[in-house]
Amino acid sequence: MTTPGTQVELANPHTGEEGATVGKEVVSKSPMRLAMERFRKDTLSMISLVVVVVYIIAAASAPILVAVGVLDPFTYNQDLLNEYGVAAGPYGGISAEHPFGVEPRAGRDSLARVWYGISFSLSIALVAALIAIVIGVVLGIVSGASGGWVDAIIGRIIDLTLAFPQTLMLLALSSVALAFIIEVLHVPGSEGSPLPRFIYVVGVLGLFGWTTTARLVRGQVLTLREREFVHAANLVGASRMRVYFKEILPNLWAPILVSFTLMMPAFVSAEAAMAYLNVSVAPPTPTLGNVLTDSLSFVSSNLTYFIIPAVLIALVVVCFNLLGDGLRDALDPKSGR
Amino acid sequence: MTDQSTGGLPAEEQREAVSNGEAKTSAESLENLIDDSHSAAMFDPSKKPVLTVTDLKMHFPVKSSGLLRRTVGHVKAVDGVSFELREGQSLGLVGESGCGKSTTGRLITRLYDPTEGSIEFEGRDLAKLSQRQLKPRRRDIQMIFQDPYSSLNPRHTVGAIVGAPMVIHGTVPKKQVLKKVQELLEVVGLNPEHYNRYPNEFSGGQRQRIGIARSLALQPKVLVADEPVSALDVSIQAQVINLLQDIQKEFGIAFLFIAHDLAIVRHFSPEIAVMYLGKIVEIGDRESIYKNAHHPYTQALLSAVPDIKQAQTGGRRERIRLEGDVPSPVNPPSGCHFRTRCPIAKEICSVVEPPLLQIDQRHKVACHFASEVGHAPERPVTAPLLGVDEYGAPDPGASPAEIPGDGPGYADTWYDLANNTRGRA
Repeated sequence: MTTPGTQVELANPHTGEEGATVGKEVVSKSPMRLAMERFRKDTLSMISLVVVVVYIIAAASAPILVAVGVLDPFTYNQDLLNEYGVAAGPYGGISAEHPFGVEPRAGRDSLARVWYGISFSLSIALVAALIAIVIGVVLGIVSGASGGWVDAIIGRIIDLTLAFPQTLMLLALSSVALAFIIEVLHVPGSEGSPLPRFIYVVGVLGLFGWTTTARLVRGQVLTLREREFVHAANLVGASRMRVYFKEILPNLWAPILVSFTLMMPAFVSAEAAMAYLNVSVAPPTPTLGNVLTDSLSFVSSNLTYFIIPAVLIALVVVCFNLLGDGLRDALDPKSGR
Repeated sequence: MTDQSTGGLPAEEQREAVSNGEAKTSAESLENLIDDSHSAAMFDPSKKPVLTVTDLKMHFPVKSSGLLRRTVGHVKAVDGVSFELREGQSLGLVGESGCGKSTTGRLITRLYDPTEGSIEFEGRDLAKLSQRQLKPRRRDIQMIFQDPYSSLNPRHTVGAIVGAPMVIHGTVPKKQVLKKVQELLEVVGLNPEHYNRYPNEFSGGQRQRIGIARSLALQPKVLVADEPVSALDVSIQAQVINLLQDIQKEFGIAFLFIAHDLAIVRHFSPEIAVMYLGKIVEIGDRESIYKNAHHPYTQALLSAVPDIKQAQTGGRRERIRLEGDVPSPVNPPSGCHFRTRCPIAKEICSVVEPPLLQIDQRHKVACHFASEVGHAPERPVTAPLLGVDEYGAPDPGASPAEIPGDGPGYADTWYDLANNTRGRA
């Protein structure tokens, strides 16, 4: 197994104690470079990376395409439906104009709905994951590095958050929380604006999703704070903030990155679950979750309409998870599978 | 000390020689690698003490498991240590693992808050200052760490590591930090152009040099070197030791040199303190410790060191083997901490703790039966001074006297073991 130190040691005789100039054929490899090489050799991870990148490009391009009118997720095409309100053609009305068919009842273009839906689903997951990571990392570092009663209190907060009945709160408090977001925070909640529900979903996912990251970071900090470079920083009188965020934090980016990549798929599927419970962003604004929920009523009459969002959700979740696993293997070669 | 084994069993002798062979060659190569310009440092009594440590104690609480976590005991890692560190001189601190030598170093640099005692530096007691009050004083006392692989932050460049102390203390204007870093890298023998490399691009010896450059960044007056070479190869050890000696000469820094390698301490430090279970059991100049050790623990420690010169003349010292393990510092033995493993312990040792008694101009020892090997006295030499009888029971007839050399430094008068009288310089 290649550990970060070994190849560097081979390069060292050339840098010698006398400081001889480095020959051109000698490349000193940083741990980052070595990790990237390991990652590139992992075919499955590379494939998932490509898929994830395609999703990200799709998500980023969707609002632009909708704005210029290439994608049209909102126009009704009643003429493409039969008398039962289902797409007229075979396989959900697939045609050159509507490659994924049209949705039942309203006849909006399925491709445009899921493409724009990817954009909303991924941005919900991204913002929520960023919130969760920031809260988790800050509390984890403070908890692990200070220890004592601070650690105990943060530990109890984590326990409380984990013990909190999230699903119940999602359902029971959604109307109260939405009213709060609109009335107190003055978020424009006029008819059709997805913003209040977007904030609600992101808030719920972010505020309840940070606990595992906090525990992971705390564990890493517990080992890091006994390393001598932390003592060395204390010795010169470095401030607490400097020790936390300049000495300890840069050593944590690998687990943080992995935890972020594993959080994204969890939040994409959590959004779908929330859409099923009717607390996520609501139609007409599409998300992968609410398109899938909508399709469930037509499974028997229009299978295509169900399969497309289902496969898209499954694919992004699986690929993000594989990417996260691949990153973990590449960044931390000592931990076996 | 004796060459009685020359006529001993040849077979056993050979086996001994084989088992010691590796250690001998490593010690020998170290001697050879340290070149003539770096001769053993000499003790200079004219220098003033810069750091005075008195009765320093560090008791780590042991908490019970469960919700309440009551304190159920204390690990007495350092239990009353006193010594003086003189300007530009070096004090070696030796002892086996877990005897409290590293803790002592970390107390002096205030990485730990001492339980008791004082650390006097330039008229201030560092032990009583809060971390905030301490910050301006921190630049005077710096530390070289043991493990060059964990003492440098792998995510910082060498320039950032060496420059950090200067930035934090604002001793150098921001624009000149890089120039100063390059100067320091040159002082420690590294290429100044390598300031933007990461620690993983350097070897162990080079990393330790980076650590030394960092410790010099604030121009300290005292450097605590916590086993600075024990993680390095023997050939690299010599280079780093030479570098430390050059730095000491050039900048006049006082060193507290913590080590377990007696050969290196002997070379580097003209004054040596031997620790056992949180206490100094013997302290003195190099000659007193290496040629004239009076504590049974020091004698056992020294007998374990392979000696090239004696091996060359065919002589071999008798090995003193200690039985058992070091007792737990949570519950150290009563009286003398060493008595459970001591070959000459008697009743008094479990009752009365031996004081650190000055027995020569610069030699103190904490033993009731302080003597050379094989010449242990019948009666405890300390009993009359402490006012107890030879079994440690209080003696109403005796008049306890002042212990010579009580305190961190050396007194002008001392207790002459040969005549049981007070001597004088």
